[in-house]
Amino acid sequence: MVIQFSVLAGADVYAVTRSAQHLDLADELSAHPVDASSRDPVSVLAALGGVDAAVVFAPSDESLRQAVASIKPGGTVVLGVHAQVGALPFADEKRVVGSVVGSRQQMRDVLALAAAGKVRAHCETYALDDAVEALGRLKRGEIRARAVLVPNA
Amino acid sequence: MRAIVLDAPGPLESGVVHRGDHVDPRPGSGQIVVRVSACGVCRSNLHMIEGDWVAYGVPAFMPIVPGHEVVGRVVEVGSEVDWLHPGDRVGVQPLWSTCGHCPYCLTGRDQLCSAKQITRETVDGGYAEYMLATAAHAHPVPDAISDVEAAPLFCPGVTAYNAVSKAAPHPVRHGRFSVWGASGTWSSSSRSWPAPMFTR
Repeated sequence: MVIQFSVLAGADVYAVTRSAQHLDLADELSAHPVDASSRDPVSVLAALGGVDAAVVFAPSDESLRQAVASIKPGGTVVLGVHAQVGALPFADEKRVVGSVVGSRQQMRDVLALAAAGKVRAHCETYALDDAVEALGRLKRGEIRARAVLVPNA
Repeated sequence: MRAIVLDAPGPLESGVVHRGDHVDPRPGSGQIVVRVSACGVCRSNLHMIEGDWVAYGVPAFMPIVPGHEVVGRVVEVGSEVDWLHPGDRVGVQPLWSTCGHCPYCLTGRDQLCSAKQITRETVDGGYAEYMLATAAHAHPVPDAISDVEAAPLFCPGVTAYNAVSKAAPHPVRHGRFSVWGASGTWSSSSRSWPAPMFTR
């Protein structure tokens, strides 16, 4: 949903990933896919003139390093995972800021945006008794949409 | 009630998490009981189950019920709750409760409250027929969204929204963002919680 909210914010979104499945998904969500398995994402983004901001949920020091390198001077990297920041050249006045869930007001904002049809989660459902199966599929990378348990269905 | 419970952290395949009977929740003051309609399955549930966060004190007790993106209907309200009623549809996010009086709570940054309780880390979550919730941290779900589609809004949704809000503090037009890795916060599918929110 980072892509959906970024598009809502009016940004051109470049989705950097090594996963072919996620490259397809990025394309579906109106982002420009950047295949980090075959090209250096820093070079790709630099060729565009850099990006204004980066949002990092990849649990990878290397991804964070590349994100910091590819934002413009004065840009912001938002980090939603544990990762080592590494070199941060002060003269470019770049910012790295952490982010965790959201406030109650932000929760209300998200519900209002979803009710207006601006963002949508893609889900597949499982009975409560199939929770372990759903967790196993998640562990093995076999779930593309969000698995949702329906305990009282 | 029926629930999925974690006895003790370990490999998923070893049977540490399984169906079981769990104590029926009863609402205290300021609390509600929700009959769970939908609960998202998050990568962070796997982290807790497999023991990745034991060093952080998660889970805080055992057996514990996983699940922290929960939608359902209110079935019971405790004292001091006059704005929610049985039958109301609500959702609960990982932020299960906060102190309400620290500088973070006072400035709308309740996710930074040091006294916060986290759904499925320090209190039972939504892999169950019923769940206890804090009324002030339960959010009415608009009619336009189904139970199932609403559930992921309560973790990857709000997580992505907060992150993008920080990337775009002002309306961006013709700007460029890059987003890096992880399916969960992209679509709705998963990795939004590589670390626990609550550390002791």
